[in-house]
Amino acid sequence: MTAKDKSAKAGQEQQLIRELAELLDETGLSEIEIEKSGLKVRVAKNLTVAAAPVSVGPAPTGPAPTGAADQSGGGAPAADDAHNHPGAVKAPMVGTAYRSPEPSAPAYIDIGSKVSAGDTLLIVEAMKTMNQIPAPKSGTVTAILFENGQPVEFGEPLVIIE
Amino acid sequence: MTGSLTPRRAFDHLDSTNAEALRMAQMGERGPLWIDADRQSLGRGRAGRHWVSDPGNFMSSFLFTPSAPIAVLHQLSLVAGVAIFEAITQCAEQGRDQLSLKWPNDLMLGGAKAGGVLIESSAFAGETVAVIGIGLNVRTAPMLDGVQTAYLASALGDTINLDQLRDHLATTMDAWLKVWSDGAGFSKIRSAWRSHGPSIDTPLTINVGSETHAGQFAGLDEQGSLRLRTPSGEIQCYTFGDVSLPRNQATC
Repeated sequence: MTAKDKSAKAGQEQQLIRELAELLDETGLSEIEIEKSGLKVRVAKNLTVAAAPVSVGPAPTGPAPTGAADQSGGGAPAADDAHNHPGAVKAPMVGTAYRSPEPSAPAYIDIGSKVSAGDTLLIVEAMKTMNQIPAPKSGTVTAILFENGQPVEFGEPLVIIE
Repeated sequence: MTGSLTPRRAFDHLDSTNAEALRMAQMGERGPLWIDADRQSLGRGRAGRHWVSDPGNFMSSFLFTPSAPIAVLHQLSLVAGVAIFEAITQCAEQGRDQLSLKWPNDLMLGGAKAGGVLIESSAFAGETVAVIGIGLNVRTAPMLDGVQTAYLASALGDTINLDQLRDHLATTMDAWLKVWSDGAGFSKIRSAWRSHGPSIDTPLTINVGSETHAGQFAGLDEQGSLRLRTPSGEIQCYTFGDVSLPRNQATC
């Protein structure tokens, strides 16, 4: 790889991180993690309890507001594309999204999890009704776009499977 | 009373009737089916809370396959509340006026919690199965931190018994699911719930995560969400949260 290539790649990564950081602000999320073609990027910001009014999950942890790229690699989809991504699993209802069946249990999925069609990805609760949301297809989880205990809107992309 | 033809499977002991129902669904069961237990070792409430399951109390789950889209399955929460309320009032010799519903479906006896519901849905081989888990304190009330509890026989008459409750609830569940019609009749469910729930303007608080919001009950919206009128007069809607009635501090 030439110095010029390296420079171009670093620029792309910076642009991606910038886009994800902007998406954090737009969506009010505290953390976004995506993985594609060997590139894994996690952008997180520290929140106080007061800044997360309806979260019942643990306080987010992670690097400082500017985020960090774990590893270099190829390009990644623009974060704004999550809505239109063919592998996006969207909230089928308004409710509260949970990553595990109960607070003490392990999460159904993590980034990189291999899932089969029908596997439970998450729960969306509305009015004490806990709806297990299944994977519509088999694949690998490349993005988890919600925080545990976060209110979600109808049609909001929650997970990306590729 | 044997108005319902829905089959039942009874167990002396289960981890939880909901867990058993979901295991049965995994094996191909599609219901309608009632699953009863005399004892549960891992009875569950919302958000992983343990539901204390003492012998002599009611613990059953109703498994069925609704045709409704998953987006309206939360309406079952009110369907279950109405069916439970009606079944118990049919069984009660006395004390019916002490019963009420607390949003979305806790059964209250004189302001203390006497029953609760946890509904779970999951897809199996492309079919959505719903499980309505119901726990009712009939003979004893568990001691819980921060929650006033009551048991039904204390106020409704000592003749209330589990077999009678199961029969009545199977019948009222069938009837109210028919009224609900996979969501088409939900306005009738809301009306029935309202007649058993708090009066408009009843003071209440709702805990959502780490926050508590206080106000007055302002009815249910078209999806059954709780409407709360804040002190400033604003209406806020909640799809989840633990409701408390400040007068007696009864909570979920």
